[in-house]
Amino acid sequence: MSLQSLSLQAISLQTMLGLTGISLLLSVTLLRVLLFFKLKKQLSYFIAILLFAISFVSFSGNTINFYFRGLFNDLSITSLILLSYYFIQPETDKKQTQPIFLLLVITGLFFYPTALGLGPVDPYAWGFISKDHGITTPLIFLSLLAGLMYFALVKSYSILLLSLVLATLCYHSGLLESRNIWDYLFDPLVFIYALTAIISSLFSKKNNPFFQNQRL
Amino acid sequence: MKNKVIFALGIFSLLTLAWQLLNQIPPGTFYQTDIAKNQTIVTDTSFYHTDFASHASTPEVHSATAIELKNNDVMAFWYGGTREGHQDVSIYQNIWHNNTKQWDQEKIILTRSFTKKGTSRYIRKLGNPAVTRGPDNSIWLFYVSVSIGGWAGSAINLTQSHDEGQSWSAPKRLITTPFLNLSTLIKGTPVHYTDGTIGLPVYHELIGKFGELLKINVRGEVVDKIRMSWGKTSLQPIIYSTSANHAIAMMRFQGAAPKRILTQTSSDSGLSWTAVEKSSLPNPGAGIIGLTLNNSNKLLLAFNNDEEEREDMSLAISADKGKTWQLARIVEENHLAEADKDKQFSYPWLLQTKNGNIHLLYTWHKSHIKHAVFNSAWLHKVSEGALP
Repeated sequence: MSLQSLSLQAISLQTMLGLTGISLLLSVTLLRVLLFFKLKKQLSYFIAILLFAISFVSFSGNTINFYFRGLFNDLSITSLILLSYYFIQPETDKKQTQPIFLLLVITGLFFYPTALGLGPVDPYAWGFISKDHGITTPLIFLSLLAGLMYFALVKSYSILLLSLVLATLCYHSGLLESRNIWDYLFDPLVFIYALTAIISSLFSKKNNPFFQNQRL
Repeated sequence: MKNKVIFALGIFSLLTLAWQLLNQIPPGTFYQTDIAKNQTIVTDTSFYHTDFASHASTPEVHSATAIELKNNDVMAFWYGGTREGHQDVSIYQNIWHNNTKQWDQEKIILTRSFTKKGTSRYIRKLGNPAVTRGPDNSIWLFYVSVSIGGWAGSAINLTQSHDEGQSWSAPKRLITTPFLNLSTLIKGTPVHYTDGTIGLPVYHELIGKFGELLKINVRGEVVDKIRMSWGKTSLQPIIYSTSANHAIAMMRFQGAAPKRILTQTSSDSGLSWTAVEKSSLPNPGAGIIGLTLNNSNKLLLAFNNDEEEREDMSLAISADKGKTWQLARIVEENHLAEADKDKQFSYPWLLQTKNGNIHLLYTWHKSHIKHAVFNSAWLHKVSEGALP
C-alpha cells in the first residue's frame, strides 16, 4: 500500500470545498456515533478530527473523501452549515434545527420525485436563475428566498437564516461546481436526515420544544 | 443585530442576482452553418469505402463519436475494454487521414485514473463519449463515467483539447441532477447556439427513462436543462436544427410494440418540445444518429431498420423535415438463422466533413468500430423506397 499525501496545490477551491464537505460529513457522523455510545468527549473529538485528516490521505491512489465524493457528489451549503453546527455543538438546539428540517422535508417531498422525472415539469431547471424561459419564474424563486430569509429573521431562526444567506452568497460566487442554486440550498443527504428527524420528532412530540406550540 | 446584518447580506445578494438576471443576454438561437461559405464539393461520381477505425486492441468496443480536424482528417473516439462496464474500459482515439484514406493506430486517451484525478472522485467505469467543437474552436469531448452501480448511476465529464486532440485537459464534472448528480448519459450529437452555448442532448435512466437537453456555457458549465420527454420509454435523443428556431428530435424507444423511433419538435430553439410521438421508423431499442446534409435541407438518419434486432445498419433521408422518410441505403445486413447479439450493428455516429463526404461509424459485432465514408452522390444514387 502506497501512502501519499494529496497534493493540495493542484486543487481548485471548488474541489477543496467539495472534498472538505465530505470529510466533515464523515467525521461528524463518527463523532455523533461515538458520543451516542458515551465515549469521552475529548477522545471522540480526537478520533473525529483524525478521521477528517486521514480522509485526505491517498491509499493506492484513492483518498477516502474521493471515494465518498464519487458516491454523494458535493454537499450543499446548508449541509455544511449543519455539519459545522453539529461539530461545534453536538447538543444542538432543536428550535434552530427543526425549522430547517421542516422546510427541507416540505420542499424535498415535492422536489425530488418531480426532478427525477415524475411528470413533465422539472423544478431543478428553475434553479439555474436563467433568462432562457423568461424572467417570471426566476424572479418568483428569488422573491421566495427573500421571504424565507425575512421569516427566519423575524422568528430568530439563525441557522435557517445563515443557511439561506450563505447558500445564496456561495451560489453568487460559484463556490460549488454546480451553477444551480438548488444544489447550494440542499442535497439528498440532508433531506433524508431531515425527514428522519421530523418523523422522529413527531413520535416524541411532547419532548420537542419546537413542536409543542406548532400545529402540523 | 447579528441576524439583521446576515439578512441584509442575503437581500443584497438576491438583489444582485436579480440585477444579473435582468441583464442577461437573451438565449441564443440554433447556429446555422453558413452554406455560402461551405466548401462542399458536389460531384456526380459516387464513392463508398469501408474499413475499421479500431484494430482489435480490446475485446470489446462501443459507442463511436467523431469530429473533423482542421487539416480535414477525421478523429474518432470510442470506449473499449474487456467488456462493457469493465474497470479496464478506457476512451480510445484514432485518426483517419484524409490524404491516405487510412486509419492510424488507436491509442488510449482517457482512463478511469485520469478521470479520477481530474474530477477528484472515485470512478468505477467509463462509458459513451460525444465530441464537438467548443465556442473557441477547441475540441470538447464529453464522456460518461460511473462511480456506483450500473449505467443509471452515470455522470458526464468534459475534457478539452486545444491542440487538435494531441493532449487533453483534466476532465471536469458536469453537475446535471440534484440527486447525487446521478443518471445523466450521452449519445447524440451536440448542437450549437448563436450565443456560444452548446446544446447537449442527454438522457436520464434512473427510475424513468427520458430525454433532456443541457445547455453548456463557454466555461463548460451547465446553465440550463430542458426536459424533452418524460416517462419510462424514451432515451438517447438526437436533434436536427432545421432553422434558427425550429428543430426535430428523435429518440430511441424502450417500450411496448409497435417499437418505433420517437419524434417531437421545437419551435423556440429547443427551450420547449412537443410531446413525443411514434414515427413510422422501426426501432429495436437501439441508438440512432442523424445530421442535416450540407447544401440542402435534407435530414440523414442512421438506424436499425427492425423492431426486434440490431441486424442491419440502414440510412434514411427525409426531404420534408422529418415528416416522411425514404430508405436510402442498407449499409449492413445479417441473414442469420437465429438472432446473435454478438453479430449486431449498433450505436451509429454520422459526420459530414467540409468537403461533403459523409462518415458513418458504428459498433460492428461489438468487437470493432466500423467506418464507412461516402459522398452524397452514392447516398442518392439508389433509392431503396419509401418507408411505411
